[in-house]
Formats: sequence, structure tokens, C-alpha cells
Amino acid sequence: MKICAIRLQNIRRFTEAVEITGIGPGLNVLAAPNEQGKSTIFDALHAVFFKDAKSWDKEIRALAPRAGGEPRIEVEIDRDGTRYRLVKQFQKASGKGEIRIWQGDTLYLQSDAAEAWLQDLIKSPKDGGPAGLLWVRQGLTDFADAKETLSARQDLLSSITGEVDAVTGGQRMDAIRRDLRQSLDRLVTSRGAKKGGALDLAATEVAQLQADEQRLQARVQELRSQLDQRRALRAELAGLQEADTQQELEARMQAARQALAAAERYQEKLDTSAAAVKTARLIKENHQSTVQGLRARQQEHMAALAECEQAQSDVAEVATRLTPAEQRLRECLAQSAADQDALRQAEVLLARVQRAAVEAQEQAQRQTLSKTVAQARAAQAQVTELTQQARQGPDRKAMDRIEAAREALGLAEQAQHLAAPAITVTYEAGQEGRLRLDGQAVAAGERLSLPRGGQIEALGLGRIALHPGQATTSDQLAVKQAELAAALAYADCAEVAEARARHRSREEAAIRLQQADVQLQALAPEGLLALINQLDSLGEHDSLEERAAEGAASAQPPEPPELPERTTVEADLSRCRAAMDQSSAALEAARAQEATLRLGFEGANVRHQAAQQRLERAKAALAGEVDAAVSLAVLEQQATALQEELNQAQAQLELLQQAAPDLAAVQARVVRAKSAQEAVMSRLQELGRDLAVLDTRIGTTAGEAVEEELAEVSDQLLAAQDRLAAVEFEVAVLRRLDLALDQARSAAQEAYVAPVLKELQPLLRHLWPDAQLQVDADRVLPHHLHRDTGGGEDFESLSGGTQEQIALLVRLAFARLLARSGEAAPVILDDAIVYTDDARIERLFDALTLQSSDLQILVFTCRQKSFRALGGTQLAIRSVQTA
Amino acid sequence: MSTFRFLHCSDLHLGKRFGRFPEETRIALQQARQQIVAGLAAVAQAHAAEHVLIAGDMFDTETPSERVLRQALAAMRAASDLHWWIIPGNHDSAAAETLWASLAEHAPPNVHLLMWSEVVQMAPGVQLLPAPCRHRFAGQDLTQWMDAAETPTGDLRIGLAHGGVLDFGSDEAGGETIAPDRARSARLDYLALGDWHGTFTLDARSRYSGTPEADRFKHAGRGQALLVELSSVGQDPKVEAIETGALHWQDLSLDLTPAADAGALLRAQLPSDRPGWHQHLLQIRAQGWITAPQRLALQQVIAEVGPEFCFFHLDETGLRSEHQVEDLDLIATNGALRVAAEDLLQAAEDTALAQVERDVASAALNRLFAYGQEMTASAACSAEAET
Repeated sequence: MKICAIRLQNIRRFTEAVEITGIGPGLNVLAAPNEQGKSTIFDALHAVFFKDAKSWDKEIRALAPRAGGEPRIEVEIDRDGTRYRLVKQFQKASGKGEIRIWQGDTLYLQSDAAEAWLQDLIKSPKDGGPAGLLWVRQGLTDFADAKETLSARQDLLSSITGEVDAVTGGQRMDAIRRDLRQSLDRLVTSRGAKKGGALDLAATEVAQLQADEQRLQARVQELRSQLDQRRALRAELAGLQEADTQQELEARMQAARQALAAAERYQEKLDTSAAAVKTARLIKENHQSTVQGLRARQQEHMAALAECEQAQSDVAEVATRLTPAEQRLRECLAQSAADQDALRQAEVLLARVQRAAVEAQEQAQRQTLSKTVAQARAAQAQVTELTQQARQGPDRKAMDRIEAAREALGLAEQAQHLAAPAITVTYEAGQEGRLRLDGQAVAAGERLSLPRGGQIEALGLGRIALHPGQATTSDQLAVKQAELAAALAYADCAEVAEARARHRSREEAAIRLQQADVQLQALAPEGLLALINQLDSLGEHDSLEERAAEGAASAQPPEPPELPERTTVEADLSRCRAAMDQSSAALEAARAQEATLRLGFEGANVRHQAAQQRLERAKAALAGEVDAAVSLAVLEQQATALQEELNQAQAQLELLQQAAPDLAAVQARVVRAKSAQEAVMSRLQELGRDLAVLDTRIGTTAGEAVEEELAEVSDQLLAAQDRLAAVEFEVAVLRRLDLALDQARSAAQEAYVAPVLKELQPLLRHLWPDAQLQVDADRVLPHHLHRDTGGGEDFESLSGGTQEQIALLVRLAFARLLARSGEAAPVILDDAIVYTDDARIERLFDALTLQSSDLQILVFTCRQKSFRALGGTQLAIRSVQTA
Repeated sequence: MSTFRFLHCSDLHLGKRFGRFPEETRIALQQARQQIVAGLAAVAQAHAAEHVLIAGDMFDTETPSERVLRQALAAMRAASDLHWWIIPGNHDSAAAETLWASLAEHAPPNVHLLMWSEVVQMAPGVQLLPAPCRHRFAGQDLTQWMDAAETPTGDLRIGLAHGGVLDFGSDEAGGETIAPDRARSARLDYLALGDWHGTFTLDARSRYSGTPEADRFKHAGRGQALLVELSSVGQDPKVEAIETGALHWQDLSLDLTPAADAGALLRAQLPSDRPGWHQHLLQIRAQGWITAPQRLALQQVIAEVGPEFCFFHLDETGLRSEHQVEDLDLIATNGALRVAAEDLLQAAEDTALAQVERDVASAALNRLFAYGQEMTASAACSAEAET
């Protein structure tokens, strides 16, 4: 958008219509002295774009002339190549103001639609952007506090501050948030309600009241319950105290007692009847036992009598059998004695026969033994002799020594023979035997050794003495010879041959001795002496037997000279023994039979005696009974009568029992009636006590006005809950507002801070090629100017001129940002450059000129002279009529 | 016989604590209640009525404090020329044995406690037919017995009962039991009714006196008692309502629109006798839609006048905020504050959100508006001070 012309009527001093026309697309300058209406034009521009035509507020009223009249503002604008004429007529009468937008001579829009179009026109490129503020009066910030506003009028920086504030919420937002936070801090902490804060107090109050209410409800409930209880108790008490109740209880008691008395009387009758039955039964039972006793005694007597007779008969019968048995026993004894005599005689005869046989055998034995003793004695003598012979001559050891010595001597002689000089003679034919050695002819060809020398006699020729030269060999030979001699001496032999012969004799004697020993051993295995003793003993037996025979012969009659055959005797003996065995068996049988019968006889006698005693006792028991059978018949008749009496008594008892009242039940009834009476009395006492206690409790509670207190507390609780809800709502509201503000500021900073800084940097370099401006990123405000030539200064320390130049550039950066977003807005500077010196103003003008190539800039200034150099389109306020 | 004149009242609810009200208001309410017996005595005496009929609910609960009970009796004793005829109501029913025993124990001879439904002679030629509430919830028409009750021919018959009328209603839920034509069916010359806290005429002979000292906004104005004059049997009574209450209760509604001058409308509703405001309890139920500036204006008026009242409460639950673009402009035309305001406005109007969230957002926006106004006012003051 670009402003092309402005027309005002009834705006402060301009009661008549004035206009500024020919506003160019780039740099425009309205240079006029003070009080010429430059600020009025600004205010009018602000009103036309920001105030609803229908409004008549302070700002609009301030535009109206003192003399009266209703402001009319007309602005021609170019939007995307199309020219629009915007007319706002404010009117004092509420809601009567008008807006019209013309496109050429055609009414394009009016009223609300026109306002909406206008809103869209001045709308910030993004929500919350700087929007139209760029082209309203420098330094004017609608909502900043008064001081800020005033200072904002004083320099451009302050206006930038206001602008940035507008974008980010700035100090106003800071103040609001500070207040919000303080309010929240008074109510809550990060952990919940702040102790002692309104929220905490409200919550505590609610909790306290809830507890109170519960407590009081419980007390009221308790009171009500006590009242109910008391009513119930009183009703019960009244019921119990009623005369009817008492009488009924008494009547019930009386009836029960009467019933009990009647029952007790009946019981007595029952007892009497039962006693009668019992007596009749006893009599009958006694009678029965009498009958039974008599009957038993009678039976016993008869049994005893029978038993006695039987016993007597048994005795007689046994006696008849006993006598022949005794006779038989005597006969058997006689037979047995006879048989025993015959047997003894047979045995004596057999003994004699046997003795004779033994004697004959012993005689034969004696003869054989005598012969053997004689042979044994001869063998004994031979042994003695051979033993003597076997000790003669060298034994094996001595013989071995001799043989060894002889062998050693032989070896020594052989050695000497070999070592000694030897001769071998060879005879001339015909000369044989002519040489003699030591006197003996020497055979031809025989080598003769001469260890001891010798003397050879050559017959016919002389003698030759030979002398042995080797002594040593001779010594050894001598030793050997000595040893042989010693051995021979030891054996008491002169020659080896003798020794050998004698040794052979000794060996042969030993063999024969061995044979003789064997023979002796066979003859007398236990030695000769034992054999002799045996023989001697046989000879003694003979003498004993002879003595016995002699003794017997003196006592016994002389034996028949001839004895029968042994076999005959033995056969007789056997026969006698068999007869003896037979008679013994018969005797034993007879004895056994006699003993058995005698025992039976004695037993029968004993039984007979016992039966007689039993019979005596039975008779004694029956003594007095004249006639037992008659007595029994009488007694049985009496028993029938007694049974009849018993039956009658029992029938009467049963009748009584059937009609008997239940005594226990009647007694229980009495107990119950009594207990009921007592229970009523006890309950009456209890009720009295309980009622007294309840009265006291109720009196206490009721006097404390608990229900009123409960009603009050319940009401208070409702109010407190409302208050708590209100405080909680307040917390929610504060938090919500805080959140909205926080988000809005963050969004604004994100949307504008970085982009504006980016636009600002090239502008800064234009004015200070050697310096860098540091900007407070949070507030988008310059705070430090750093110069490459050295050092730097905080923004507040910079000169007023530098400050306003920087501020102007920041403003231009905003404008550039808008232009880039396609919503270029005019930049209007109202007496913005005040402190800048002439040298620096040139650069500033350069910057403005440069920017005006694509930005519409309107400069209003009272420094006509200084701004002449700025160039640009020169504007003027003209009366419309003039124009 | 000469005319018979008496004062008919009911529902004194002595001992009521008014817990929902702020402390200062409660004290005033309690004091006014406790003085009402003396006030009634004065009215009766001033109008030459020798009898005061209390148609139930003399006490607010079945267990009033000794102080409340004894002071009431003391006031009755003090008016020794008057006869007080009292029946138990549902709040202080005869089931409250302790209460009635205590009353019987301490009551002076001029106080008549009517505990049974039986004819009592008030004065020669005047028979009283009381229908005391035996229990908190009667569950039956306690006046039924009156139809068959015999009284000497030519005597006045006055019924005294407590409870709602079948086709009319009660101040207590489920309390509607009394036959509406009881006065006719029981040949009563007057039926003095209690339970309804406002004065109400059922027919020429059946009336509710209402409470002599109002206790709720439901029945506007001051409490009243009825001065009844009976001339002869069968004649309609002459009844005069006499204001007895000290405190004036009023419940107003204030309908607002975004265009209205809320402050002015509120002022227009206020009672005219400003010096008497300290005896006024005023509850204003505002409803409709208002803008943030209107809300501010309302709050300013309340802050100005509220403290002068015995009780003043603006109920804003029916009041919804309408946020207008102009209002947002007053916060900020652009920038982050504007964004925040628009965010809150959007949330307040977003039907997709829960109502409570919308309410919170709306209130937050109002608060932001208030901040804005506060700062602007502050800025203006500072500016004026500097210039």
C-alpha cells in the first residue's frame, strides 16, 4: 500500500478542508515549521486507519475542532496498482459515523464491509506483527505507560522500543506477567497451594468445615438415635407398667400353680398304684421261687436214689469179675516161677559148655606162641650178632676219606711220574731183558718213570744210578701218602684193599641186619619181651582157671564127665527163654486185668458211698414235707391266683398312667410364668436405669444446639466450597492468561526477532562500515556498538544522534521486513531526526534514499534547512479551495 | 360478643445461624431474629391484640441452644398481658421431647404449648383447634380432626396448623398435606397457617402469615405478621398484614446486553433509601452477555455501593462475556498482547472445548482487558500529572 493523498476537514485547527497531494511512491518530505499541523495529520492518519467510523472516543474527540464539528478524513491509497479513495466521517451521535471506499467515482465499499477491507489492508503480515505502527507517528505507543510515551516522543529510540514492545508485548506484557506471577505466587507454589495463601486457606476452611459437619452430623445422628431409643424405651415401659399386663402375668402364674398342685396329687395316686403292682409282683415271684425250690428238692431226691442204686449194682458186678482174675494171677505166678528155674538150669549148662570151648582154644594159642617166641629169640640173637658185624670195618665216611686220600696219592704219584725222569728201553734184537731196573727186567718200549731214581743195571754193562732232581714233588707225594696212611690208620686198616674188604663186609652185615630186624619185627611186632609176657600171661590164665575149677569142684557136685553139644544146650536155652517170655506176658496180662478190676471195684465203692451221701442229703432236704406232690399241687393253685392279682394291679396302673398330666410340662409352665414375672420386673428396673442415662445424654446434647450448629456449618461449608471454587477458578484463569501471554511472546520473538536482525545488518554497515551493532535478541533492541577501530560503547552511552540514527535504521529494517512479505507499509517519520549532526545526516539521507527505492517514506520535519538536502518529493499542506 | 383480635404469625425459626452468609451479615441476621418475639409483642400490644398465635416452627431446629430458648420465653414473659399460643411445626416437632419439656418447664403462665389435637378455649366464646406436628414429616393431614371437633354453639372456632396445602405447596419438600378447604369443612372462622415464609391468602379465612423476620431471598421484602379480627361466628375475618421484620430481602435480576450501560442499569435497581441500605440484603442475578468494559463498569459500581448493604451479592453465573474486536483493540491492536488476546478469545468461543475451559479462557481475557484498562488509566494519570 502507498499513500497518495490526504485530505482533512474539521480536524483540530483544520476546520476548513486541507490536503496533501502528490505523495510519491518513494521518499517524501514535508518540511514545515512547528504548529503547522504535521502532528495533526499524523493523528488523522492513525484515526482513519485504526478507529471505527462509528466510534466517538477520546482519541476522536481530541481530533474534533474546539469550535465544534465532526472530523472527516479522506485518504487516497494505491493498493496493488489500483487507487482507492477512503473517506471516514466521524459523528458525535453514537453509531452514526460512516466509512466509504471509492474506486474512481464508484462506491466500492461502505460501512462494515469497508471497515473489514481496511482491517485487512493494515493487517500485520502475520498475527502480532508491527503492522501499521510503522506509518503512524514516531514514538506513539498507545498503551505504554505515560513516562514511556513521553520519552518515546523525545527520541526515536524510544519509539523503536515501543514498536518492539508492541511486537513482543514488551514492558506492558512484562508488567502484566509480573503481576500475574505475583498473583499466582500468592496462591500456589510448584507443589500445590501456597501455605497461608487464599487457595490454601479456602481449602483448609472447606476441609475443616467438612470435618465439623461430619462430626456434627454424627452428633445429630446420635441425638436422633437416642431420642428414638428413648421413645422406644418409654413405649416399652408404658406397656410393661399397664395394669392389664401385670394382671395377665399374675393370672398366668396362678393357673400354672393350680395345674401343678393337681398334677402333684395325681402323681401320688400313680405312685400308690405302682407300689401295689410292685407288691403283687414280689409276692408272685416269692411264690414261684417256693414252688421251684420244692420241685427241685423232689427231683434231687429221686435222682440221688437212682444214682445210689446204680452204684450198688456196679459194685456187685465188678466184684464178680475180680475173683477169677485173682485166681488167674496166682496161676500165672506159679507158671512163671517154674519157667524161671528151667531157664536158670539151661543157662548153667550152656556156661559150662562155653568154658570148656574157651579152655581148648587157649591151649592152642599157647603152643603157637611158644613157637613164635623161640623163633623170635633166634632172630634176636642174629640181630645182635649182625649189629656187631655191622660195626666192624670202616664205615662209609672213613671209606670215602680213604678213597679220597688214595685218589689224591694216585694223582700225586702220577704227577711225580710225569715230572720224574723216565726211561723207555729199546732192546737190540736178542738182547731183551738185559736191562734191569732195581733188579727187575725192564720191558722194551715201556716208559718207566723214575721219581725216586733208581738203579738200572745193564746186564753186562754195569749199573746206572738214577737220581731224581725234583724234591717238591716228592714232598707232596709224601704228604699224600701220610694222609692216606692217616686215613687207613683211622680205619684201623693197613691197606686200602683191606679197608675196602672190611668196608664191604660192614655193608653186607648191615643189609643182613636189616633183614633180621624185619623178621624179628614180623615175629614180635611189640618186641620180644611183649611176646614173652603174652606167653607168660597165657600160662597164668591157666593157673587161675585151674584154681577156679578146683574151687567149683569143691562146692558143686562133680560134673558129668561128658558135656552135651553146645548147639543142643543153646536150643534148650532158647526154648526155656520162650517159655519164660510167654509166662511173663501172661503174668503181666493177669496183673493188669486184676489191677483194672480192683480199681473199678474201688471206684464203684466210692461212687456208691457218694450216692448214699447225696441220698441222705436229699432225704434231709425233703424232711418235713409230708407229701411233696400234694404240696406242689396246692402251691401251683395259689400261683394262678397271685398272677391274677398282679394283672389287675397293672391294669389299674396303666389306666392311671394314660390319664396322667405331664408334670414336667406343668412345672415348666410354673417356672415360665415366674420367669416372665421376674423378667418384667427386671426389665422395668433396666428401663428405668436406661431412661435415666438417656435423659441425661439427650439433655446434654440437646442443650448444645447441635442441630443449629450443624445447619450453620453446612451453610458455611457451602459458602466455603463456593469460595474455594472461586479461588480455584482464579488460579485457572491466571494460569491460562499466563500461558497465553507466554506463547504469544515466544511466537512473536520467533517470528520477528531474527528476520529483523537480518534486515538491520546491511543498513548498519551503510552508516558505520567499521562498526558492528550488537542487538539484544530478546528485545530486538541495540545495546552495544562495537567499532573495529577499537573499543565499543553500550547503547545508552552513545550520543543522542547515534542513538536516533540506529533507531531509525531499526525502524527501516522493520519496514524492509514488511516489504519483503509483500505488505509494504509506508514509513512515516515525524520529527524523528533531531540530534543527528549535518555530517552524519547526509549518510542517513543516503540510507533513506536507498531504501525509498522500494519503500514509501514520509518524512515530516521542522528542520527545513537541514532536510533540504534529503531530496525526495517535497510535500505541502494546502487548503482544498486553494488547491 | 365483642370482636376478638389476635396476631397470627409463624416460622420464627429462632436460632437460625445463616452459615452461608459472611460473618458480619450473620450477626445482623441472628440479632434481628432473636429480637422478633419482642417485636411481635410490641405490635400486638400496639394493636390491642391480647393473643399471639404462633403457627409452628418457632425454633429453627429441635435442639435450640438454651440461650435462644430462654430468651424467647423471657420476651414472652415480659409481655405478660399477652397470651402466646404455640404449636410445634415440622422444624421443632413434638418429637423433640427435650425441647418441649424444657419449654414446658420454663414457660411462664401466659405461654400455652399446644401439644395435642384437642380443643382449647382461648377466651370465653373462643375455641382454638390446634394441629401440632407430632413428627418432622407428618405424612398426613393433621387438621382432619377439626372437622369432627365439637365446640359450644356460637363460639368462635380458630384453627392453628403448620404445613403445606395440597394444591398450593410448602416451603418444605413433601410438606403438602393440608386440605385447602379445611376452614370450610371444619367450620373454622379462621385457619392460622404456618410453614410458608411469605404472607399468603388461601381463602378469606385461611392464611399463611409468613415469617415475621424474613430469612431468604425467595420471599422478598420484610417479614410480616397478620392482625386478625373476628367479629362473630361465620363472618369473614378482618385481616391486616403488619410489617414486623427489621431486614429487607430482595432478589433482583439484571438483564444485560453488550450495548447496555451495565453500571447504570445496576444503579437503577438499587433501593432508593440509601440510608437504610444497611438493613437490606440484596442479591442481583445478572444474566445475558456483556463485554469486558461492561464487566469492569459493573465491578466498579459494586465496589462503590456493596459495602453499604447488610449483604450485597452479584450473582454472575448467568452472565456470559461477549468479546468484541473493539475490546481486543483496547488491549492491543497488534503485537504479542493482541495475539494472546485473540488466542483467549478463540478459546472462549471454541465450542469444541469443554465449557469450563471456555469459561477460564473468557475470564482470562477479561482479566487481560482489566490489566489493559488499568495500565491505560495509570498511563493517563501519569500523563496528566506530568503535564
